[in-house]
Amino acid sequence: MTMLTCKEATRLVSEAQDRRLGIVERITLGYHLLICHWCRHYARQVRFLSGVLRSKLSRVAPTTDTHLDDKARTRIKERLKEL
Amino acid sequence: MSDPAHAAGRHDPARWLDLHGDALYAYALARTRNSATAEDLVQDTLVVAFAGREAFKGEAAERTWLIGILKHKVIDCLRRQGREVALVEEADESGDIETTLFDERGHWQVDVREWSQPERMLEREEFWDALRDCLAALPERLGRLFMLRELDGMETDELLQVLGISSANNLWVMLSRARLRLSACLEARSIVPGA
Repeated sequence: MTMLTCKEATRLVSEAQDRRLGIVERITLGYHLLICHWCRHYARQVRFLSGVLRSKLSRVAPTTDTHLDDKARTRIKERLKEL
Repeated sequence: MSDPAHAAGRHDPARWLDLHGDALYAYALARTRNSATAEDLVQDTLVVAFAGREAFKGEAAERTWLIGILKHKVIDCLRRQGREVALVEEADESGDIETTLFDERGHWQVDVREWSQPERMLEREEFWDALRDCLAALPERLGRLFMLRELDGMETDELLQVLGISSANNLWVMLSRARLRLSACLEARSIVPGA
């Protein structure tokens, strides 16, 4: 079994969010995370942030404090009058 | 529904703008990350919605209907831009974050702390401020890609199409860089207490 570098391990940590890792990838990554606390911490950060972004997107997407400014509003209204 | 005055009021695009303008703009801005583009998309959406107003029977909420139209507009727009920038794809976002974080042997050269009870941070406004800032600090294309992946849950095939990225492998590299940047940015702000 080849050993992963941390750089490779973080890449697999990320890819696990985007595709299903193969069996060998899962084993080598699992082994790396067992022995490397930096990558283990990073993996937890990634999973935490993904969960936050996917479940609380309304808090991150600029909604409550984002406003279409008045100039743009006026311009759009002018255009809509032509309809 | 048979009341003509009511129907006319319902199909007034200026009223849509008043009621839903901010929501539409926020949706477009989060995904295009460009205010002028987002404003144009809001306008296009209202024009198209007005043209297709008969199709809206009111079974969907008005805002949901408008967002549905906007979603297609956003995807068309990103797809067009994706083609334009496809040639310069990776050059502008080359692995600088990796050279910052890892040494030449691929080992971390920064400390990666364990976050202590990060869920607790969700109640703190400064966490959300930092998260928004760090998302905004991502390079334009990376940021767009990352938002479509995480906010809209777009899968690999759709992302490749929409953003005109040449291979799944490049896409995953880019997403990985976005995640490294996001973590590093939050770490730099020491926003989550260590264990």
